[in-house]
Amino acid sequence: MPAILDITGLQKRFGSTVALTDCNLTVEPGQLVGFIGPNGAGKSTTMRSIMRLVSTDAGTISWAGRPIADDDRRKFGYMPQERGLYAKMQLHEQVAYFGRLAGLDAADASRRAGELLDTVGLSSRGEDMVQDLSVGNQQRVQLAVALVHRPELLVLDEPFAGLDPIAVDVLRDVIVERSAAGVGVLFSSHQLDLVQELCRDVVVINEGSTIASGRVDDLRSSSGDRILEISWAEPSDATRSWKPGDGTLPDENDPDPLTTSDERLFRVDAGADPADLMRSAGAVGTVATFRFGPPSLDDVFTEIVGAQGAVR
Amino acid sequence: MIWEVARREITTRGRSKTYRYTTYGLIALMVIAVGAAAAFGSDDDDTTTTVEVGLVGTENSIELDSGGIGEIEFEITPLSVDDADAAVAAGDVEVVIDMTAGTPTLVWNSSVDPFVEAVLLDALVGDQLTQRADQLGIDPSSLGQLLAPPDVDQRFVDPASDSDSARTGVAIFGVLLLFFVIQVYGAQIALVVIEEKANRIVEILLSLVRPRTLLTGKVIGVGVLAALQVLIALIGLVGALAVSGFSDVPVSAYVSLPVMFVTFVLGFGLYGVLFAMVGSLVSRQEDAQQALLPVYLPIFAGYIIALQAAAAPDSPIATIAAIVPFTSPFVLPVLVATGSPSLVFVIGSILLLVASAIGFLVLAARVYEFTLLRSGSRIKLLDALRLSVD
Repeated sequence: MPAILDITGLQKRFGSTVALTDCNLTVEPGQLVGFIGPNGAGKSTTMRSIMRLVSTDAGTISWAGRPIADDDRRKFGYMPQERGLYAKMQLHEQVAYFGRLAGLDAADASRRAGELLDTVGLSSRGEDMVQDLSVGNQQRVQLAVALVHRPELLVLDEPFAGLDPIAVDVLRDVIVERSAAGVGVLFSSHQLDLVQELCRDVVVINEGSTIASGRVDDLRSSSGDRILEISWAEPSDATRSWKPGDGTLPDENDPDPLTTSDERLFRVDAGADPADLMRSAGAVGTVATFRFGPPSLDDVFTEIVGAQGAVR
Repeated sequence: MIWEVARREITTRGRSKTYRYTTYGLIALMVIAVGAAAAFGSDDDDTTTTVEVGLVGTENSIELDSGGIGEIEFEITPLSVDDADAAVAAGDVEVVIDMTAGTPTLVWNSSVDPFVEAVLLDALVGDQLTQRADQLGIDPSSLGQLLAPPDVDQRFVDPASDSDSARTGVAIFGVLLLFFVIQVYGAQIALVVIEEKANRIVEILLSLVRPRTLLTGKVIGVGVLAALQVLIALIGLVGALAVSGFSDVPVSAYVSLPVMFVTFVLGFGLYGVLFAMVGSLVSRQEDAQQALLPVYLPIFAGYIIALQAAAAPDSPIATIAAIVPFTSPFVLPVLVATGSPSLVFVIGSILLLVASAIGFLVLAARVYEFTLLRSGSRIKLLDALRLSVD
């Protein structure tokens, strides 16, 4: 499917500070793209550039195959990193107001506001002031504001930051549902477990440049390491001192913090043969659980960003 | 979209306690003003002051005709010589006319009421003349002819227009109103901008609407709220004038009104944009006053020059200030009221004001883009201007 949003070679400086040097990413309709990077990597600047809140020095941002125009922004739903709502405005009125600003007529905006407050679980509080809501509930309203005008693209900057698990679930369900409905979603997060769970695709940015992108699974598989999780039916000194064989082991034999639970965690070379490891582990006891696979996105991210720092 | 932004300002700020209470207060004030004017100032008011006068030393009553002066009515009480002083001292009578010596003596308590004295003396003279005329056999109509003032015509080389002072008065009233409205509501525009910047909602707003649209909508929204309160004040003023009998302000006094209306709207627009622009430089309301100082200065300058222009409309300062866009909203209506500027001058000044308002709107929108997303310490105006034109 052709990309609906295409960013190429984006550059931006703020005075002497370089924010973006070579940012590239694409989002297809219905695609959920995780946008990850360390603090100050350029995620928010990129997202603000998409929303035309920041003018860029070089590079292109295309929408549906042509340079992005002002009116295109109304097809985007935006949730900035620093949340903001009118504190002394009623929820329903506020969501409807942003709908009208995005071009909906008054009746449609009001109807959509009602639907979305219902979706995010705040239908009974439509007449409450925003200032009377908890931070988590304000975040739900913020999402409703981003969705009110039926956007074709969602740009969400740290949408899960500061949310409790229930609010995370609500937000996640809404994002997945929108994506399934064909809306492209670009969201940044430091909660990489969530990104791994939600996204098929990911873009990694560091120091203003895209340093990796593609399918999450591919990125994880491209790692030179594999993670081995193993436990034995009857833990013993032999199982506790077991190591996954000579030559196949990296220097760091990362013990899991929960080693005391008798489940052992190892980082092994990607070339290791799981069958050999199984046989070796079986020699010291009956294996109860055995998982062998690529490292998590969190691990891969640390690996990629760390490697770039080491090269520098 | 401009209307959507303006409407939000009108509905949310119009419903705020501050605005509601000040509006109710204004309405109450105007109702009181009209009521007071109706009670105390009406032309039809026929209330007259009755002055108690004691009369001593004559069996005959005397005719005291105030001649309608000050609508005073004398109530005469005959008194004995012995009671006269006590009656004055006790306040039973205001004054005693003592005729025991043949010629009248006025007896007051401690001080003379000059107004009553003047009316009373006039009435006594009239009474004396009537009595003497009667003694001389002159009938009252002949006496009237004798004392009638001669007809004297007057001619003026350069007659003063009745409406001159009224015209200037109306213009100065407009200047005062503009001075008040720009300060109060302009500061509100700045505070609205600071509030949106502080709570970060501006990022969402600017993702949906252009800075210029946002800016214009805010100025219009707050301007409508200001106009409503001004309208209430004007209705109250006109109502009070009408019921108090001061409704004979010549129509020509309102000659500067169209110009005043145009400069009022444009002036509010220009300064509203400036207040918004400067408001975008700060992130906290505590920093607002200091940041807004550069906007207040030309407002004060315009106001002071306008007041001076009323006395000396042909001065070079008044002429220049009527052209300079920052001061022309104040000064131009005063010059028009005094009738000194040509039509070309007025149109030129207004066009310059329009161009400036539009120019500053464009500039402010640029500054807005650069400053609204920056939080933290105050951004210097020059830095913001430099960034916006880079």
